[in-house]
Amino acid sequence: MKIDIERLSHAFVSADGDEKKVIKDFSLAIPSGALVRVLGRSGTGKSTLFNIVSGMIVPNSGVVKVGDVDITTLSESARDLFRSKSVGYIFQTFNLLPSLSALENVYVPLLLAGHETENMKKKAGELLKQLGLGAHQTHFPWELSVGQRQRVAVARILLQRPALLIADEPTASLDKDSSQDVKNAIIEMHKQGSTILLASHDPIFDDMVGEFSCNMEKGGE
Amino acid sequence: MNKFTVIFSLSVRYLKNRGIATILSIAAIALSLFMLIVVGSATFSIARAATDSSVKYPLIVGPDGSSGVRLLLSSLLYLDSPSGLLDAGVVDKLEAEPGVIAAVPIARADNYMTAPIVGTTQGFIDSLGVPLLDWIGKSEEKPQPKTVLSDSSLSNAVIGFRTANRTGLRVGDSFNGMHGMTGEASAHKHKEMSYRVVAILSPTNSPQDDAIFSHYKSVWLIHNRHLANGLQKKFTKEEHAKITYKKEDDTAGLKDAATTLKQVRDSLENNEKAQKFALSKDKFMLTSGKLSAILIQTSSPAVTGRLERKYSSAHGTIAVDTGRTLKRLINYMNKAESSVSYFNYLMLLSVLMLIFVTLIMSLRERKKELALLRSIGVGKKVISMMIMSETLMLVIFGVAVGVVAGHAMLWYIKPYLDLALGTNIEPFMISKMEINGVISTLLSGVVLSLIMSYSVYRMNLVEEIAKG
Ligand SMILES: Nc1ncnc2c1ncn2[C@@H]1O[C@H](COP(=O)(O)OP(=O)(O)OP(=O)(O)O)[C@@H](O)[C@H]1O
Ligand SMILES: [Mg+2]
Repeated sequence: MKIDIERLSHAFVSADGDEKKVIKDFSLAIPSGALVRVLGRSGTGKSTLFNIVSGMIVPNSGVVKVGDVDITTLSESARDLFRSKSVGYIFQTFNLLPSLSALENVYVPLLLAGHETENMKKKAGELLKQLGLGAHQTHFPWELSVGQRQRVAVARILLQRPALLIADEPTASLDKDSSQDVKNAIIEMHKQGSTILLASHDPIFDDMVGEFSCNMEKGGE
Repeated sequence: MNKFTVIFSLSVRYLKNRGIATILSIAAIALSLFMLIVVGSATFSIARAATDSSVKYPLIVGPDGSSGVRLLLSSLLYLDSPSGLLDAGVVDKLEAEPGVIAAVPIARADNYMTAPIVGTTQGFIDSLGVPLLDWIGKSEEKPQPKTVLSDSSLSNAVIGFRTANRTGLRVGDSFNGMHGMTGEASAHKHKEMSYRVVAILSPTNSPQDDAIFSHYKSVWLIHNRHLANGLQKKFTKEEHAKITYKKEDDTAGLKDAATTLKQVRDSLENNEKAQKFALSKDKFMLTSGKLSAILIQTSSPAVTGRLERKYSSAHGTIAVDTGRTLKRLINYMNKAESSVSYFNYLMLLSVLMLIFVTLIMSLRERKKELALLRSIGVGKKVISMMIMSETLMLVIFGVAVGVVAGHAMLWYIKPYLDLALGTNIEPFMISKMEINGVISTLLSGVVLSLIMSYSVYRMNLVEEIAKG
């Protein structure tokens, strides 16, 4: 899935009315299947950019073409549908619903989002096994370690197979082994042709910089 | 899989996960419904108990000047004291009327430990339609006596089931009637004659359970003797010499008291004190020839209507249609019921409000979780539907538990409640109050869930994602 961002600007308005420009006149063309490492210090707007691309936030101005449609012109429900069909998120933490078991966390949210394929439950179980969580399928998030939780989130992404994977600090809370598992999943998705947006300070990804990177310092100006 | 099925099972999951908070919410709703169930069925059965005891006697005749409601309360439900006296001769007149099946005299003046002593006849005991629970000689396997009240053994007393429980009186025990309530200035114990408990009635689940029954002539006897004692005490020797009545003349205690009092007035014509004494005793003391009320069994409503008219105008009496008066009373009770129920509804409302507060607060904690769903592409509508179904389910569970457990609980505590209230509660009856409670809880649940889902719909969940 190719992404064309043209002259994107976005500002947040705080409670006291102050406008804070986060992204200023930002343009970027990402070919389909690229792995993009988004760089920039904290607070420079990486997450904001992701949320705009995924259709969570509608920017103040600019064009964000994902595939062939300008996502900024879509209705909210159309953007929801787009996310459920084509976008997978991995956040630093809190990727799981506390009231669902590990197995359910892999496929139930996808069902709820209307993303239904055959044998989802069976496939979810197999993915968990592959990620070494075969014995933890019925465990609830609070019964899992941080690394195990992140692997459940990875299993969901692998089940969803989104054309666009957004990984926002996916390894920041993890040890080396778990980080490597997450990285492997990203590489796997990349190999299968997904476009990948990655924001991470983790040196584990440093060997992937060469691919494609952009810097959000100064709002990407 | 159907999306609604997923939403439904997610809601169940969430409620299960909330554990103790869910249980408490459900219990709070259930408990307030339970209170409505108890009050509803108790008031119903109180009204029914009164109705049951009244249908046997569709007409009551009482002294002129008393109100219909008071007559009913005092002669049938024993909730008030009688307001005056009427001539016992009216009983004969009534019995001579065509269409009268029975005219039962009621003489009420005294009590024992607040249990009303009701002077009446064996016929009234028979009309209660319950067997004796205990009688003298039962332990020696003597058969149940056919007659317990007769004018040949005036000290006999038959006591109601709850009176026996409350006062501790057993068959064979003796007790003395008391005039007025302990602590009242005019209260006094009647030492003129002791009663002896000869039988205890099985429960009737009516006001009769709280009474003591004796022959009406026993009430006359006690008050005749009391009058005779009074005459001896109140008057000087000289005055007494003029009174032709002598206590010794009336060893049976059933001489016509009116004649005696007339003698007092005639022989002490210029004695103001004597005149006053005689007049007030004649008016207020339940001596021979006087009654508090007469309960009448008629053959048809037409007879009841005719007698009501006839005895309301002549004979120094008023006549009261029991059913009609009772309806007025029950209407009045319903008013009381609704004031109790307002309180209950208010409690229900505050329970729902508290639950609402906890739910709204928990929404804040769930922002992240909901934002996660949004990031996966779950629509706002689906999320608000999920929240709505959680809230609705909580309220529906609460109502279901309240109704099922409430009736089961009522069934369990029925014996205690019946004993305490003198009722015969039907634990599985569904009262109007309960229906109102259920409907209003469910409606509030709908409103609550709509508010909840609306506030979720309005939430800015993206900010939660941006916070990372
Ligand atoms: N919903 C919001 N309302 C107001 N300001 C916001 C909002 N979301 C983000 N911001 C502000 O926008 C700026 C960019 O935030 P963003 O989360 O995109 O940064 P980031 O590059 O992802 O940082 P980090 O590396 O710490 O995750 C920050 O200054 C932040 O305070
Ligand atoms: Mg960020």
